Amino acid sequence: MTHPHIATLMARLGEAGLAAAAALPGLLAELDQHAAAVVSALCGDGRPLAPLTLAGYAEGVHDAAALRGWRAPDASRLDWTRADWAVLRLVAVCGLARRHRFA
Amino acid sequence: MFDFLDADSALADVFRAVALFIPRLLVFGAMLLVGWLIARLARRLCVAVLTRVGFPRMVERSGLNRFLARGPAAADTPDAHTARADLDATTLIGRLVYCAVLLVTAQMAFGVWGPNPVSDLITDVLAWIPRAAVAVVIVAIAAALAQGARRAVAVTLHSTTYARPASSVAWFLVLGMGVVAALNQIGVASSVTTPLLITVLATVGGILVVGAGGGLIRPMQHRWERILISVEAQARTVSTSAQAAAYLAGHADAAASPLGSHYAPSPEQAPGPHTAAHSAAHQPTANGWPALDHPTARDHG
Repeated sequence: MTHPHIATLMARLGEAGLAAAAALPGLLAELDQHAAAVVSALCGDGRPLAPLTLAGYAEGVHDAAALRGWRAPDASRLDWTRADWAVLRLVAVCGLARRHRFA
Repeated sequence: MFDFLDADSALADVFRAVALFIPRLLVFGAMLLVGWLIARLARRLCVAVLTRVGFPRMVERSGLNRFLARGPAAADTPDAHTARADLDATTLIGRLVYCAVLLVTAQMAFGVWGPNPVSDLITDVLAWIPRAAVAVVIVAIAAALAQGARRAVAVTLHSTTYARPASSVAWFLVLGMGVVAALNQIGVASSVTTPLLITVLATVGGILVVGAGGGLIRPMQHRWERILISVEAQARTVSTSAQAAAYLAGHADAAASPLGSHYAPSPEQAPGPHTAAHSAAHQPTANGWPALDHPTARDHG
């Protein structure tokens, strides 16, 4: 059930972000909040979480952020204690995908 | 002497018997003659009354006469007219009445001879004749109804290609009911007619199942294919629209977000060495994610 966009996101940002969150409780809490926001945005009408909708959501976040001048950082050189909103949102999407075994 | 006396008395007996027999024979013959005349009269009367009532027209309309003659195929040949004149339903009932009256008189005539098996036989036949007449009437009425049903079905379905077989089936069913009723009427036991009816119905059902059902396999196959393809397409549309909605939700969230803001780390979680990496993270990279750079190129799903 892996979606190609989720897999890409996971490889570029998710793996590093989730590994960092395991060591940084503050980051973990922040990711949880983002994940809750994503779930409430996608499953507001009782629909189940699906790889397809997660991928669509991540794409929408990325595109809107890119329109505002945001560029995806290099995960290996990222300071995870100071990650920005878009990075946190996208890593939260990755966390949801992993929790639901989509990726 | 005794022999002579005996012979004499025997002769007297013979004479007496003959003397008794002759008038009985005369009475018997006279009764049969009168009965025959009355029977002919009754037959004419019966045919006249039936004609007056309109029975022949009804039978004619029902097409029953053709079956009482030689069947539909022979209806147009010259002999068919004589056959029809010989055996139409009105004449048939007339004959039944004729036979009945003749039998009644015969029974009375045989009564002259005292109780005998012939009288018993005639009694049985007489008891049966009214039922036969009623059976003929039932068949005639059923045939008329069947003809009416056939016409009604043919008129109702005349624009369809199956009007002819459907009307024939209607005709056959109604006539079949009438025939079964008539058979019951003349005393053919329902233990015979009911299995016959069931057999006919089972045959018709079997033909329908095998013919219509077997013939419907391929059309139903096409229909199922269409249904499944349509369901599949709709499911694709639904999932695509769900993905589009999710995309819009993400877009809106990111557009409304404090994009550049960082989450506030607690002081003990913000060690110094990461500062350099932090500044590097906010330099815009020229190539972001090739796979995610084109929102319109969502060719998956």
